Amino acid sequence: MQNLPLKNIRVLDFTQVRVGPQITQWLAVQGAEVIRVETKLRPESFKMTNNPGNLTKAAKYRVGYFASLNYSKQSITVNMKSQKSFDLIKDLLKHIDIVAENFRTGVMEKWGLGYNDLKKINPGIILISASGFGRTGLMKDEPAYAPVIDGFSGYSYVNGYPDGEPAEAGARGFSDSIAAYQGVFAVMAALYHRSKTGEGQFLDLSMSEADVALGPEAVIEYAVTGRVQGRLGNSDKYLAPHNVYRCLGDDRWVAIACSNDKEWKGLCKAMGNPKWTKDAKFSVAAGRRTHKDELDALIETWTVKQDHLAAVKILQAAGVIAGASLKVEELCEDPHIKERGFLVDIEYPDKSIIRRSALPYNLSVSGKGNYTHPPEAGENNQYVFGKIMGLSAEKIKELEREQVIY
Amino acid sequence: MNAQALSGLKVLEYGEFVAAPYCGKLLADLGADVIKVEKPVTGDRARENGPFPKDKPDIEKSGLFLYLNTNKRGVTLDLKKAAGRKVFQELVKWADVLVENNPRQDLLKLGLDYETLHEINPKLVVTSITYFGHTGPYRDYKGCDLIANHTSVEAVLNPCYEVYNEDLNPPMKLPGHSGDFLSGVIAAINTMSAVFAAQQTGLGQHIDLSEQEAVASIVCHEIGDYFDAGITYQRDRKYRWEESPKYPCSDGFIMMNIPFQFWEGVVRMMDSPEWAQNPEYKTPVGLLHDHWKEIQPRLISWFKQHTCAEVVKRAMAQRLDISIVQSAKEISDNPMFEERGFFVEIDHKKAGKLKFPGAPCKFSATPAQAPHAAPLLGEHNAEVYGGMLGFKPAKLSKLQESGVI
Repeated sequence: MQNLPLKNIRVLDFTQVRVGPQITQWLAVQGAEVIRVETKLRPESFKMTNNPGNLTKAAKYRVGYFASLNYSKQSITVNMKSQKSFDLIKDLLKHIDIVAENFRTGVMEKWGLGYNDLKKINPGIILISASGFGRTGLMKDEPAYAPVIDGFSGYSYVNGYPDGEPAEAGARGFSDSIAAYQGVFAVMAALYHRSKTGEGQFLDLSMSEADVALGPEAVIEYAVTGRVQGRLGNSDKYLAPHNVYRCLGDDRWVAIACSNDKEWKGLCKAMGNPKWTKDAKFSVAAGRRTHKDELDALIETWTVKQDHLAAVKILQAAGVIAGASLKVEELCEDPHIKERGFLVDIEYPDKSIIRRSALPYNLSVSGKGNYTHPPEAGENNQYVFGKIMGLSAEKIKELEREQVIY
Repeated sequence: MNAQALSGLKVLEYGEFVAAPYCGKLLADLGADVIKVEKPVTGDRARENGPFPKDKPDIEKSGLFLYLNTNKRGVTLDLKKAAGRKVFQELVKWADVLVENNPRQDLLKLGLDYETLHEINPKLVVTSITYFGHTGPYRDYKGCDLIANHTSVEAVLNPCYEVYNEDLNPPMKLPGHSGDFLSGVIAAINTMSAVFAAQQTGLGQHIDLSEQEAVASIVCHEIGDYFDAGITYQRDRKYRWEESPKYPCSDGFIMMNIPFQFWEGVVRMMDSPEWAQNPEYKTPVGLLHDHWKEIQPRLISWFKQHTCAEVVKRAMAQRLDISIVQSAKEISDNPMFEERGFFVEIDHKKAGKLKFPGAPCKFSATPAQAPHAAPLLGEHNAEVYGGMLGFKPAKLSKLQESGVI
């Protein structure tokens, strides 16, 4: 493996679905050895969902959401109904730096793997627990999937058209993603503290808190003015134009914003300085904001005759902030995205390949990180139990026979 | 007092508005020593952006600025002047990390490109946040949060479940400056990664974060489905294979997930009406596929007859997955956040006391400490230039008179 920043860090990964796997994926891409703990008793939840990738004939660890969130990791399988499995896991924990989990509150404790137990086995361990509402407090036992957190943390309330209803955010699992990123940063900070002091710690990541911290603007507005902010769609509180505009073709749009008079003049020029742009009410920022609906309609009379991608080139050349509303197939074929290496091909041992988005991780010396195939359940049993723990081949066979490794 | 997780890490922030300042805040709130460099007189652009108390613009009272700059020291410096750039070099020598979100061309003009910075301080980690990155054909394109949302696929998927006619309902950005905030936390992760590398090698490096990619990284499922199965999602409901989890109550909206295993709880929540006990609803396919179209309107009509609070109380008694779509006021007054001590009080010299969201994650060994309010413009000039860099009073006043600080 390349000389990556977390190459000496080993993670035991008890996570499933989205928020947890997304945390450990970031660690894996930075070079940490991430070992998923799985079981043949039941498949990982995301291998069971009926997303389109899973409906193809490929094996479930090779496609779909599981593959999107679990590349670059390893997998072991144990039987979580057998005490011997826990003994085995506890031995393995001596070789581990970070443990990650997103079960319901109490599951790890029930297994004797709560933070107080882990600390006794290995005082330097960092445990990150991701949950909807935290591991303490009134709602610690409540389940939480993305839309519920979206509602609870206030994203939905302010996400919507100005005249429409509140809406869940667009990308699937948005609330999980942003909480996961806050969680990864917390782990990195705890690792830094450990590198200085040797001390581990317990990180209690509440998705709802992580999400309010990252999307705080309506709450700030309330704290400062007492106002409850509504939905703004594509518009900005201060700037106009600041919107998307219809282009040639079916459902094609270009986003345009002007943050000062210079950019506004650039926009006028790019549109060929039509007569209406000379209207005095549009000559200052405040006037453009006051008359934004009229302004938007007039700008659209120009954009509607343009190809959305060509319009961006014209506008950017004129010094105007502009971007097309890219569809997934456009992003995936975009020359800029491709040249920057944001899409990665990941190869399996049998040479078959899947393509995925990389993480936004791009360092001049360490590089773009580690991308290896998502593991089949138990794929790394021999390596983990044999090489890391030093169990003999016979011992591993015996544990397999006893369905401890299972 | 306990040490903080990032105590001892020295960070220089030369950025504006949201993305770089949020990265700096995340580091500062965990104990890093962050010095924020602002241009003299007007300062960070976020200072002009409000919200302001009583809607009166004041560069010392912008709510957005006050949130984004807690626990930092603030200095002013004019980098357009040669003397200012010289002072900046002194700060660069002091720092472990520089966080910035300036256009690439502006950095080149100021002689702050990575190669030059690396020569001044080979250990320095430089975290650059731009809208399209420092490489590729669009690298010098202008951007803002709106553009990061629309060029990353996120906008064509948003809003979820609300759209019946894409022609009338354009793609929509996420609320506020979500793309900028998201880039800030990703920048903080990348920064720590490069700090670990520097611990091992003694050398810094350059981080090239593109906001387009930052936002696109949350669209990973849709990108995966495109490559696996050629699926191209959009915001229209016809592209969704699940049903909307949003239900209207008499006084607002709730979000509720109803996977098959929760259905019995949903029935009990409604006091077990006869219609809901249809034996054909007792299999996942029967419930969620064959009959959902007739079930959903009946659910909605039940919800509409109850208040949000009533529905949530009943649902939680059945251990269902539910939340009110909370407004900013409901979040600020939420008893669970209160019990966990999530909100913190900021006491600012000019703006007074404000209740702001606190730490995104709780640390057991290095718990968050009461925050210092954001700096006034140039508040720490004497402390940093005089105390830390050791400039003599005569030099300080000369820099001040010539408008450099």
